[in-house]
Amino acid sequence: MNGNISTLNAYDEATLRAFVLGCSAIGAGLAMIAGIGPGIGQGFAAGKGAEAVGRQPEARGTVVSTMLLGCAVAESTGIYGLVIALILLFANPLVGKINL
Amino acid sequence: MNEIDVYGIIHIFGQEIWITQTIVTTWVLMAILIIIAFLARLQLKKFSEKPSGVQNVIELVIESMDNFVISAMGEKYSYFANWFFGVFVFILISNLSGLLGFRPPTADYATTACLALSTFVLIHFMGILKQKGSYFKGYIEPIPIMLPMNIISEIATPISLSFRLFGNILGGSIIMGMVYSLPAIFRIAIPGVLHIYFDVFAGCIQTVIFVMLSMTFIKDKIGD
Amino acid sequence: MDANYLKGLAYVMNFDKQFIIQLCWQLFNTAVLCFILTKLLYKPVKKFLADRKEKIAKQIDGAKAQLEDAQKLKAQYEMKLSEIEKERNAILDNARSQGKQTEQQIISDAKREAETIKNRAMLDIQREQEKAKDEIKKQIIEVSSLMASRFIASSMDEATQNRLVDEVIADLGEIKWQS
Repeated sequence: MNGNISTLNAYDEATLRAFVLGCSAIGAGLAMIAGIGPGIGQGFAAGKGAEAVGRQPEARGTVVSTMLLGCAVAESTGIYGLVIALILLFANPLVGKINL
Repeated sequence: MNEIDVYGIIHIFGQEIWITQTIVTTWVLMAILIIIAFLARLQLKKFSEKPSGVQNVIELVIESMDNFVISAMGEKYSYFANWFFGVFVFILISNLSGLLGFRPPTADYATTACLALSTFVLIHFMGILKQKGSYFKGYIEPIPIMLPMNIISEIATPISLSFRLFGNILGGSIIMGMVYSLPAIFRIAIPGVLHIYFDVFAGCIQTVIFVMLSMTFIKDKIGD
Repeated sequence: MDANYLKGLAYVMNFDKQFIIQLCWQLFNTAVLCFILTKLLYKPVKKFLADRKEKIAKQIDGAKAQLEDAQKLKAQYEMKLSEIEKERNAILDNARSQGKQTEQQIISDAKREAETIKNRAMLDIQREQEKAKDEIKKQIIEVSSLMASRFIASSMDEATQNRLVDEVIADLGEIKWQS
């Protein structure tokens, strides 16, 4: 940052904050793209689960519980994306970086 | 929206300690659980050889927890049930507390981080206790270059555990908060259905997954 | 404390010193909860269940032992019963054969006696017959001697002779009938 920054007034600081927050919101939105992966993965798992139940209806309980467990584990990548989005929205570490 | 309120600040050894909504909710839930446990304990005195009524429920809960731990860890390590019973019940009632209008304690990262941290400590404590030398050898397998990878994967375990639970519950409660902030016409039947999905279904499943994955990780490190 | 100040502290998630303090708080809370639940509920109920399991196992074992005892006793009694049956049959057979024997003996005795009686009677009859024959012979001799004396005593005509013969024959017949 050059010398001009230090002469910024309060109006400019507010503008800068708004800019960072806006970019963070966009980043949060982009982070939620991670939700695609678990969606596909869980759909795949559910399809396979339905196939397995169709093939062996007597093993339904085991198949369903295993599938739910797998789904929940596969969901974690999506949850990571959600957490990044939440951090950007609620605990934004970037706002603190604006030192004038 | 959906923030954790700070109800008060106390100072111990000159250190500022916040009494947050999470902690107060935790105390309330703890009190409820302890009262239920106490009542169940009083029932235990009246237990008979032929189970009936409340006794059936208590026996079912304890036995299914026992079977759950034994199926995941084996008969030899069934003493982990003492810890995981408390964790299971606490996470379950925390996740379900959203139904009563509380802000679930598990929607605070401090809670899930503490649970995942305890799992992390248990994993490595049991690993060192049971595997001894081969525990440290496990980090340079299959080749020594994998050492940083192995360390990262070990650290990722509690993070993924805690974030999975936290993200699910917080996401659910944020969506619920958004639904409740809608105009009145949208608040008629929709929140009920969403509560069933986010609080009951996701809450129960995430509880089971948290405890089961914790036990699986510990069992993995124990070996044999 | 200033309410507005506290309101300003509200957060969703933060990663600072306060987070670590909260984490320790929750760790403490969870540990206390687990300890109390374990002591208060989990262990006593598990102990109760284990006790009951043991008791039921014991009862089942006891019942099994009792059943075995009962079966043994039953087998013993059955054995005894069969022995008694055998004994009874033996006694009955014995009695029957003895009865048959005595019967046979009695019959044979009776037959023998009857035989002897019959023989004796036959002998008597024979003797009697012989006696009668002797008597007849004697009488015939007597009669014939009488007739001869009569023939000789009277010289007689044809008619007298015939009469005499008739007389003798009539006498003889009478005598024969009498004997």
